[in-house]
Amino acid sequence: MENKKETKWDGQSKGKVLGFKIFVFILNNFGLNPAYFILRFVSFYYFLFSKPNKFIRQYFKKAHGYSNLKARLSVYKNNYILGQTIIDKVAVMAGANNPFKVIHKNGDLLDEIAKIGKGGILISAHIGNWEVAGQGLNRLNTVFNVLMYSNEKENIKEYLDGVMKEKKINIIPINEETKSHIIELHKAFTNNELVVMHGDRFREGAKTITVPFFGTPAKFPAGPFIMAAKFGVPLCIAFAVKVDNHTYEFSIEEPIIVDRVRGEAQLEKVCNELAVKYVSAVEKMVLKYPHQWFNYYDFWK
Amino acid sequence: MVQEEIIKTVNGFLVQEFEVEESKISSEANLRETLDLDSLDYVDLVVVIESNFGFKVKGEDFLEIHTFQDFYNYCQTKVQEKATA
Repeated sequence: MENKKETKWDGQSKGKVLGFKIFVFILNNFGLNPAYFILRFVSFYYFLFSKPNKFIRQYFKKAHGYSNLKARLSVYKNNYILGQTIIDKVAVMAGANNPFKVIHKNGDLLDEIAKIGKGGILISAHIGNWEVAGQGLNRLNTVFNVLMYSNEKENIKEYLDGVMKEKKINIIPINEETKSHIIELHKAFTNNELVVMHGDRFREGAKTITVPFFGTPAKFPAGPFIMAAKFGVPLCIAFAVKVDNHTYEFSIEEPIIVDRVRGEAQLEKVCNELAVKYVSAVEKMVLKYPHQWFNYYDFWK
Repeated sequence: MVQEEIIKTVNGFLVQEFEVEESKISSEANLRETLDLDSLDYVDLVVVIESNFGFKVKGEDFLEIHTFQDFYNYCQTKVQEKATA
């Protein structure tokens, strides 16, 4: 595993507080379809002026072999779907009458994780709309813990915290000084709870693992795999993708049972194995839903 | 639990978990530097503390622990608190 400092994802989620509040207003007063209509214009603006779109063009060419023209046209669709997922997140988290149908694929596997009794890590990627999957997870009688960098737009976090009180979601802020997030993670697993993480972005200075992604080496955060190995908890790869305007599909793979690992050599071996399985799953999902890849930076740098 | 027992137990699990030579552990040595701890290594520390001593660690506890002696003192205090609770 590498420890070199990398500047990749800047640690900030896309979106502004005002934008959230405006779309909440439209959603509450006019509904989803008018919000999507307004979005077409917003997306066109981003398509024209958003500089990070060059990385999405690169992704379409590298991962899918698109021509220059097809890659450029695909960027607009990508921007539009991203906007839809953001609106959808707001609609769900603000408690709007459920406008989405969620198709569950292998959802019963979560019950299998619960039976093991050690909690588990649900790992996903910035594909589709993970937050909407929470709708389907509500049926489980457990708390979902979300690990979040504490400097991700604090205002947005506070806003979402306010609307998430009734839901079984606990945010664990990462605190490098006190390591309180490690304690909270341990507590969560001891309570047979699930911890939700993404495995496709990392902060500067974080440990990474290099795995081929569509044939070209790319760095992935080692954290989720190290945590699964060190805590000895099952790792479950899950995705929630947008199938159409009102339908999502929440799919889950067979949980990977991980025994607690000791020793650096064994840790590296296990983490590499987990990372390879994870990346393979991400590739399959991205091939099926190419426009729902939402990493707007040079992923292969 | 007397401190000698604490030290023996702590050094034992630190040597095993972090693959460090016992000769490098001294009471005044810096815990983080000697064990080369990063954020994720605290997972091991939390797990072994709980499994060896049975008390729960709080995040802020680590703020005051710099040397191995600090760590021994901390474990002894927590074990005594647990015993009298």
